[in-house]
Amino acid sequence: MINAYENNSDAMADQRDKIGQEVITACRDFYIKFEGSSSISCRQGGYKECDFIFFGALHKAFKSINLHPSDAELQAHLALDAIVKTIKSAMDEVKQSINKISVSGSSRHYICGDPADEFVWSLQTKLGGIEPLHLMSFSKKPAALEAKSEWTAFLLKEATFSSIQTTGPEIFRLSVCKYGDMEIVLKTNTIHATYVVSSHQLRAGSPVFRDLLGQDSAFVEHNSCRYRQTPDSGLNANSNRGHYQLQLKKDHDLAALSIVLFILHARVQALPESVHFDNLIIILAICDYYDCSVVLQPWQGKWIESWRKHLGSPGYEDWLYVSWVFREDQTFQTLTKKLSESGVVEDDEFVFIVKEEPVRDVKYLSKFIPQMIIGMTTNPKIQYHNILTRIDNNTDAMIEQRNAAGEKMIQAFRDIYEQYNIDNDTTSRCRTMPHSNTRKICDRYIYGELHLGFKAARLLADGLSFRSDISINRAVADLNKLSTVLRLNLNCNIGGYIHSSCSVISTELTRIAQNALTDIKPLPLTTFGRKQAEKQVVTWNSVLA
Amino acid sequence: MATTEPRVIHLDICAYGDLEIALTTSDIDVTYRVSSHQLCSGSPFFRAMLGPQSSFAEASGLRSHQSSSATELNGSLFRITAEEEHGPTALATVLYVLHGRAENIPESVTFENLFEIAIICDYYDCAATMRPWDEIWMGPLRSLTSKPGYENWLFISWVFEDQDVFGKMTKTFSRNGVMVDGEFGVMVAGNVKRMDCHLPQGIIGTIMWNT
Repeated sequence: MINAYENNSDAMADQRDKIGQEVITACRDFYIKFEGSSSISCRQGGYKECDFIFFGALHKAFKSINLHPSDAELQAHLALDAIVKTIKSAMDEVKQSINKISVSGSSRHYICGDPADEFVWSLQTKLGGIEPLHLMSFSKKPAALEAKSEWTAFLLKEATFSSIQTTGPEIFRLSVCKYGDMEIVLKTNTIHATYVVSSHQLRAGSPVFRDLLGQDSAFVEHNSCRYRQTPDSGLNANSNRGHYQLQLKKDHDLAALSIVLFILHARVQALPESVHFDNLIIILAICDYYDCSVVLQPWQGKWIESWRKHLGSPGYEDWLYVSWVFREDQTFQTLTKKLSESGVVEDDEFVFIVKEEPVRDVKYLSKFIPQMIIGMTTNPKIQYHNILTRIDNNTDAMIEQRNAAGEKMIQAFRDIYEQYNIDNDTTSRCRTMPHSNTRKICDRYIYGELHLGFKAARLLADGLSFRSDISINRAVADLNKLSTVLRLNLNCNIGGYIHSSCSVISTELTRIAQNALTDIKPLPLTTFGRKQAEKQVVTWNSVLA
Repeated sequence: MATTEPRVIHLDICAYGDLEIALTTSDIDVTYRVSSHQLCSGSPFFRAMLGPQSSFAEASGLRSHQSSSATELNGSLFRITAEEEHGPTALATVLYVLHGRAENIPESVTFENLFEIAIICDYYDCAATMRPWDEIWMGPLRSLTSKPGYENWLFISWVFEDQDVFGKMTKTFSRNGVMVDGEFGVMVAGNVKRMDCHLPQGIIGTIMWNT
């Protein structure tokens, strides 16, 4: 039997017994008050009738639940809630009966019913003394205390660090599987990390490890895999036999790799309850690399869903990567369109301007997002990588469709702009008064607005190419603004006349701006060789199938 | 009279497992192939039974079986027996979780299923390894805690260490508790519901021992 009393905690039956004793005593005390000869309850002249009502109601209530006022302790068959419920019902009846007492020439006995309320309240207060039991009282700790370890605390708690020499790399050793048959080694300039793992678990959870560790593997990792002596296939942890040693060629984040390895080994007790969005991306990068994102599925609720409300918000552009790893096609499509519209290219990087004032803040996409999704830049190295990995070279990635839509927009605006660049007296675009001398005023006004508007929006600078430092969204907003100015002014007064017919130019500008947004398409996962995740629903009945 | 043969099922929880667990009931005969490493890692019960420090017959049997080179050749593995009253599906679910095989684990279970899982987790002392599945299973069923017929939530909250539910249920049960034949029970819709026998006596109280 677990000792419930180490922490002075009463168990359920003990609480019932203790509070029950108090309830019984209170009932007995209250009951015997009304047995005496002098009036207790009547506050309107000491009429004995009030006491009779109380006494009768209590007697009847006690009898109905087989409770005897002389009982020394709570009888086994009685539940505390039932006692209080019965007494409350009886006291409600008492109040009704007392209110009906007819006394000639004196006030009614409303206030004589007050002891009924006071008694019920005192019993309910006693029941309020029953406390919820705490798991800690029974040598169990609430799960949250163990689980809410921080990202770094997780590593510090699990791993052993040691440094051979002060200037050398730190030696880090983590036993993910106590009875493991293999070591994973990760070496950087500053740290040499070794994880003891079970090759079975890696192969069961990751197709990449399955290939890496398979007999026919030609991977570079496998070539560096040294088979020291004989595999430790048994449970004998004291064995001196060596382990397979697999040296990873990838520069993984240590904490993230540890977390993924722990999940692959079902060692979940110490995993954090939540992870920061930036850390989540690093974990996903490892899962994507080893093609084992399925092991994260049960953790989606804790680690990922809490960030979903930020999807599409500035600063959370890396949701694109989350949707890529988890193969959420709808989210991926929404974000590729949104990011194509809002991104600019700076120093060969596709970046997003979070805010311009007072301090410019830009957000870079995670380095883990494949370049084929982002698109080609002028960086020859990136272009080379792009050609190698793109599934279909004719397909636009984000930068390319942004550039194409931008250039098409520039071309269309240029066409309109040139139409108003009229240098003779015979031609006019004015529709309101094409034969009047004022037509030239209309033409020149529109030409001037277009010129200044395009210049302010920096769309006249680079010929027909779309500037890399302007986003489609920004250009569209500027040109919609120009369209509004033109429409308002043409509908007012140009050269003494209202040129509402000429405001068609405004509609034309809006249409071209809208076309630019339409030209930017949501890109499906299949564009980049990945399919929407097909979730297999496991039901209770299919577990044994 | 013809008797129905029990359904025979072989389940590879771990394809490279070194151990078999057998569960036989009147209508089903299940063999689970598992990794003793994973069982020892996730369950103190199995660690005590099969671990390197163990002197139980199961541990020495497993060790001698592993040292014989015949194991891999003829495919026969060391075999232990599970408790007959454990649910075969619940046991499979718990074993899949112990092996981190997310793709084989149901996300949605009924209250009765969850109770079966809790019994096994309590027996093998592996509830802490059920993270985060315990939350996934308990979440949709929490609305039932105050309804009649779901008194076993107390046991479930005890096993999976859910203080909110545990506190709420112990408080309610203390207020509605009665003693019948010296045992603690709870009045539910006019009837007495006995406490589940799996629940530690420390939670119920000491009165039982005095009567």
